[in-house]
Amino acid sequence: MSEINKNEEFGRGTPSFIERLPRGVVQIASAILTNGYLKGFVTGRIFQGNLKHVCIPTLNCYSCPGALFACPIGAAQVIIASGAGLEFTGGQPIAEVIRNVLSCTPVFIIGFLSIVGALVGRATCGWACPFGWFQELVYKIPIPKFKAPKFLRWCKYIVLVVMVVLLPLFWVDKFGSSGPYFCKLICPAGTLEGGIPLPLLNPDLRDQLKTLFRFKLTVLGLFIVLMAFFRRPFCSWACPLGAFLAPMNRASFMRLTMNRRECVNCGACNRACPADLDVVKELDGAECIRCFECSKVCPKQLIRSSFG
Amino acid sequence: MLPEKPVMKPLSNFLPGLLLSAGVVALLVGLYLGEPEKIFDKAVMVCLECIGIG
Repeated sequence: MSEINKNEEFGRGTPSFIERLPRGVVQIASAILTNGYLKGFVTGRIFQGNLKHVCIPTLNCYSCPGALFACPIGAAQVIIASGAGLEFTGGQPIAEVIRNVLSCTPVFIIGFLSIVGALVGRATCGWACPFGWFQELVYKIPIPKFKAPKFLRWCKYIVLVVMVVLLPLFWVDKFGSSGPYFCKLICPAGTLEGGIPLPLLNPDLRDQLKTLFRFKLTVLGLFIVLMAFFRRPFCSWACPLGAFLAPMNRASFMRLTMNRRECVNCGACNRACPADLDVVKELDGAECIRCFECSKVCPKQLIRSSFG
Repeated sequence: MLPEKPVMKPLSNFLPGLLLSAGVVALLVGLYLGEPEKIFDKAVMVCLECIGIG
């Protein structure tokens, strides 16, 4: 009997500890914990302590006045951009080539995110990401809701490859330097957490805001409008961190399983899913953010988590 | 009576362990290369790109 069939054999189980946790409380706690430098919101200066050596597995801008940790996507782009303009010639010793490649590869961040992915998959998206929580709050606005076409989910992989890897590596300005183009041209979390509060608190920064800021503000505004109509649109369509962690859902110790034989197709799980999944078909797939909302609402308690 | 054939675990059973091991190795290589310092140097400066200036 295959592993999947074995999983589908189980009956009504008891909710695990994590399934019983109030997710909203954990999301609030995470947002406060990762942005706990309250002094920054008064002085307008960002935190400069040792915790900023460490990334968190969520999209939280390190230029937020309260941010205590580094953003993995922002940091990864800066490391990749440091390789822009590197020249590889045929005559270079292999050790030098390896050293050059490693110098512009964010191996520490890849390793950290792989460990997180191996342990819990995308659970950090569902439980710890402040911007994910913000999207869920906006979705509560009582207006008509829509289901997005599934092909849009592929866009986030394009964003990851093009904006986070290719452009920082190859788009070099006239001074020979590159930069974090996802942060610069897209990241609405950066605009919300850093772009709005920092200039508000610093008149010097406010004077420098020009076309780029207006463009970023427009992108943020567009996503906020979309958040009211669609479930977590940024996570589903544009988040490069979600794109990196998504394939790891299928290779993580934490899994979600469902007893499909006893499913009565009531649709309660689909209505509760913040990732807008067809839960019966897509449970535990790449788009699942491991929030366990489906398991909480299943009237027959057919969805359970396992670890190991 | 023939001896029972050992049951092979599917490859997917080993994926979490492989991913975790690869992650630990990459993390250690990154530490050795001093990557946390690079992260720190960026993270303690205001990211002008993030706020829409740079």
